Amino acid sequence: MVTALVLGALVVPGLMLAGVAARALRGALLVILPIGISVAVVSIFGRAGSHVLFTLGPFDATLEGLDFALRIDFRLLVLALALALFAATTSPRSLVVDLERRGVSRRLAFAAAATLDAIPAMAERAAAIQAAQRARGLDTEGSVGARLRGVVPLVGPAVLGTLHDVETRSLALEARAFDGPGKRNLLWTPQDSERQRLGRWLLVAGVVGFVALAALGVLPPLP
Amino acid sequence: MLELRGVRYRYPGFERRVLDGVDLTVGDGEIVGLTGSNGAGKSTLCLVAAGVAPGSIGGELEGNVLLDGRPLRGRRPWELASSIGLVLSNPEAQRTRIAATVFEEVAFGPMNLGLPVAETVDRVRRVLEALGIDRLVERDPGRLSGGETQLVAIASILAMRPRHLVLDEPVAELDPEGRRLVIDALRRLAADGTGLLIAEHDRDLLSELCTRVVAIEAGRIVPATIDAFPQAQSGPIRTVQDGSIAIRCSGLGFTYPDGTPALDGVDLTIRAGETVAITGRNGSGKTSLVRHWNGLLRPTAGEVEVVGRSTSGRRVAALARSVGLTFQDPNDQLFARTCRDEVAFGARNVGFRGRDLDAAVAEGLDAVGLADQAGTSPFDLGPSRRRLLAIASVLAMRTPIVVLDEPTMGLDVREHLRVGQIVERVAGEGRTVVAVSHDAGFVSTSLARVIRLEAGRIVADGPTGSFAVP
Repeated sequence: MVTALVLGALVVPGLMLAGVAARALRGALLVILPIGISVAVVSIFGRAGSHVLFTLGPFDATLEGLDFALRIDFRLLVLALALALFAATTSPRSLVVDLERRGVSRRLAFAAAATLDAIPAMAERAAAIQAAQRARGLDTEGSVGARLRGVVPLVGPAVLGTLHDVETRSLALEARAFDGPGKRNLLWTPQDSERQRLGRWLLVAGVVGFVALAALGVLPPLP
Repeated sequence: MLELRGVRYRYPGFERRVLDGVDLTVGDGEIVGLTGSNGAGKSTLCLVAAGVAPGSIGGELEGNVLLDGRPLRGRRPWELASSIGLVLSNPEAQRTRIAATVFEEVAFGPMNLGLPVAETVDRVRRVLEALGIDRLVERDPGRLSGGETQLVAIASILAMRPRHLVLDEPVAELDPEGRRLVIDALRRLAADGTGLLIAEHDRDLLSELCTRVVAIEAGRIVPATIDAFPQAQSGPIRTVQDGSIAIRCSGLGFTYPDGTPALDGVDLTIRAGETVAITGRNGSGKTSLVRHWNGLLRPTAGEVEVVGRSTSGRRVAALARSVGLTFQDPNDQLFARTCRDEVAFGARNVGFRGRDLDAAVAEGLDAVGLADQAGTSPFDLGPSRRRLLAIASVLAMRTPIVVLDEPTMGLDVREHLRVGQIVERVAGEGRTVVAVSHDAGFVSTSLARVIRLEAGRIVADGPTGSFAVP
């Protein structure tokens, strides 16, 4: 829990500084909600413990299970927020160019950018499909129930459509020699200020210090 | 020279050969048009000719594809990129999604070829000017109209200056001016010795541009002459003078949240039973205009009334009972497991149940010639049939106003004719049909009134034929 709290204390100010806290929290909750609920149910009712909170049929809900579920879900939230912070503050374009100028292969750089772009791409596709559904009379405005009704038919086509687009896009990129050998002459380089460089080194130093403190027993052992 | 000798090809996981003995030569400086009905193998032939199939997508190829005497087989896509360019029929999916501006998008290919920065910049500037899209240079490629995106996709390949070029329906989404610029650019390339293979339905483009036209039927090349293509024609156009008001826009203005202006003071009245074409250059605001009628977009100025009531405060779902709207890209519109479910979706939402629902679905599918595909997944249909399915899904809602965004794009002559018949039938029932279209042939044979937009304003409005359809 301490580990997650310390990491959270780093991520949350970052989100606030970047002005993306609300958006990132919404996205992170959406991503972790299914797995978070599963973890909670399995832990609370499946984990043995001496403090029984209540009983549901043959299952005992234990305080130890609740404690475990909270710790896991908090870690998941911090992880999702950290990823959301990265996605919200890094353009795929900057990522590709920066990785490439540091010697990473173009294919790998594009794979990283495509991963970063996957959620916005799927969101765009989902928005288009939702517009089509609304245009054909599906009421997704107003009540929460109405909004939820519109989500279910979105998932399959949004995922399939995005995958189809990715396939076509990879053909188009290959036709434009994206995975060719040799170095590209880049038209621009991303801005990299002194403060950004300092921030990166501080983060690296923080990770090293964190691992060292955990190894020395000052902090709880890493999970 | 590009040569295909005895080429047979099947996609991975499929038994059927899409190409079954293709022999075709495209000489240096020659422009060969490739036509044929949808599903005959045009797009597949483009992929094979450019080395993408089986090179990138797999599948089984027999026979030989030769580029300047050298077989394509075994050559990596990046090795071919500077020799043979490929423009796919779906421009949106060709975007890199990592470019912040149109300039960067077009520069992507030349950069990959390892060209010096100065040459990349020069090539990009020249091709943007040649295609008349230098005004878009700083725009976000993800915020362009369909036609603008298509021009950028073509520019992206032309900037690589390949010696051979394969284009799959390159002008489908373009306005006449964009079309003219593309034709001129392709002509110049051919004059410089580039060999071009163009898969296209558009008779005018084929007759104007191509030095030779061949057709593909059941995976084989057959001779074709442009004059032999049947003309799409429908019956006499119905005109309406005094029906009740279906749509009224008063001082309609709209600016997108990113600040891009789309509509500026549009005043417009369309009466019940009218058949109306909305035309204009790519990016002139056509799609933005029609999306106001069912509430997908809300005015930032002025007002829209549909069937006598303001759209203000009314939900899209409620407006859908009055206005059925197909989207320009049918891929954005299809989501159900079967064609039957797809067509039933809208009809059910507007209140059809039981036998009425079955009848509406059957009627919609029958109108577009897809009655025998009711159980097929929409995603297993080809692009043109997806477009027809999207039209069926709106017809089944039996709305008093039917709006079709580029309904004939990518359709072959038979399918084109069918859309004309649909317009005639729907208008005959006293319903209003509005089509956003660049297709001058379709507009002149199927629609009675033409409205032309420029930069978000109506600049011409009158009976078909009273002014040139842009």
